[in-house]
Amino acid sequence: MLFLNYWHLFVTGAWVTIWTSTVAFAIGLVLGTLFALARRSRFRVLRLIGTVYVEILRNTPALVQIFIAYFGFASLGFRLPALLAGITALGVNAGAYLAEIIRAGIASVPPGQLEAARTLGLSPVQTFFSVVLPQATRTVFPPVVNQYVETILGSSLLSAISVQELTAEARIVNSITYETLAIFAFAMIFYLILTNLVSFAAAMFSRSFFKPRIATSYKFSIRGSRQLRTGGGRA
Amino acid sequence: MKITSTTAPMRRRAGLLVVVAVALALTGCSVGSGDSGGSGAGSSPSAGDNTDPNHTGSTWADIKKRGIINIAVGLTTPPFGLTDKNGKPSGFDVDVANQLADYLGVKANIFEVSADGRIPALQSGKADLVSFTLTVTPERQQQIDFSDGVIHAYQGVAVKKSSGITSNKQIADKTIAVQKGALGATVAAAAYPNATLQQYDSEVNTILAARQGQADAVVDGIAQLTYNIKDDSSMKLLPGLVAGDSVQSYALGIQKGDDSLTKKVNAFLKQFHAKGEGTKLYKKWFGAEPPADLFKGFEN
Repeated sequence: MLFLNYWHLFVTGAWVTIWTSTVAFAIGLVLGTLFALARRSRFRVLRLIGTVYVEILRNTPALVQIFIAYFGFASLGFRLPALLAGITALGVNAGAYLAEIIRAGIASVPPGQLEAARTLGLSPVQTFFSVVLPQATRTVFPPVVNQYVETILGSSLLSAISVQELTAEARIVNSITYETLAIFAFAMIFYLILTNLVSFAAAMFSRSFFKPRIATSYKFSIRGSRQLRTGGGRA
Repeated sequence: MKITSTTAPMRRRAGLLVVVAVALALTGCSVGSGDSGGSGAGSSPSAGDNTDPNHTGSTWADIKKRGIINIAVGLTTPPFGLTDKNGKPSGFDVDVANQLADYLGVKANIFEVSADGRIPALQSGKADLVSFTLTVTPERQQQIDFSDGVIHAYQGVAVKKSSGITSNKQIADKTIAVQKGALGATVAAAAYPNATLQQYDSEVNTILAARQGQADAVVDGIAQLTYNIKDDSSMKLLPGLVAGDSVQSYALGIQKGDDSLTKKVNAFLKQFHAKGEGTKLYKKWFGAEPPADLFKGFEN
């Protein structure tokens, strides 16, 4: 098991994976919210911009988008360092998927809620932040966490533009010791640990934040107690 | 008795079955036999010889039985490996592979791998032979066997003319683009421990990175660098070898312990060099006479 001598390379690679995907996901969240609102706006121009962004970025491969951001822009003279190009491309790509998720979440709030809010005299801004947002967040939370996990996995594509994340380090160690199956299985275990940590943390967070509970992939139960069922998942 | 129409669940199940069947048919049709996938150039042998194209194994007896030799090449390392206008693999290494297959009397199944997929392709048996600018090193000799040498090689450095770099020593603290899994990566890491290495998937990406200014220099085989910057007036080659490197040779990679095939390949290479084929192919692909000692020890 020669490759274990290079375990520190895997650890640095995993760290690069974590922080690049987190920053990319943060960018994606901001972009996703903006474009979700744009797609729901009453101005046709905003709706058009939103649709173009989402459809182009969701229907093209992420690797091609990363190459365009790094090599493509550089050939036009607009040179971005590998990390910046990679994180931006990943973030913009995630933003397109998140825009659709968030748009669906906002649309899932029953129109009766909006009517009731108007009856109560709430302004549109107040309605959005006090009525729509809390309810949309409940719907949107599991798919958004899923998108974060997908961004972590998508960061493996950054190895093509010389970012030394986990997959790149695995390939480099492989070209030193050639223990291919063991090395890539080891890298897979790293990814499994990362993604499960994320899902677990999200489940813990949602447990304390969302009352009543929303369904999560990690289920907690207190044996023998009776709890309010919120639809789906054992209590 | 009334014939009832299909129910919605039944239609859904039927639709799902159709989708699954189509997907299986499509995947069954694809011919992926390389690490990065690529179509094989070999066709099935003509009826009449008793070869079995599905026979597996990489010894000479297996290859003779199968009638096909699987050769892994790189197609992003001009002029050793590239695709021509019609999308077919071509290049110095591809020509060597085709000549070898002709000599052995079998069909060549030539497919593409990346530089860091060369040796795994041999180890996994996907490839019987690798013809992809593979330098002979002691570390690699522990993993695979090598044939006799094909052409001499060493690692050179290319930089942008506008960078003002004039000697190999000056790149010791700069950013160097190298290929993952190629000798340039190891040699540059050993010679310049303080430099930042950018590891790319293919040779063309390393040169692109240097040309665009993402990296200050490229360390790769001297032959590839010479060829790729001869039309590019913005880049130049630095004289001499990278510190710690020595003149070595590219050879054909063969699975470890496969003596029967190695003997055959070495016999091929003996007559290859005797006929001066190396010089002929060099002239064809590089468009110039080879330097005096490029085939020293092979052709004389």
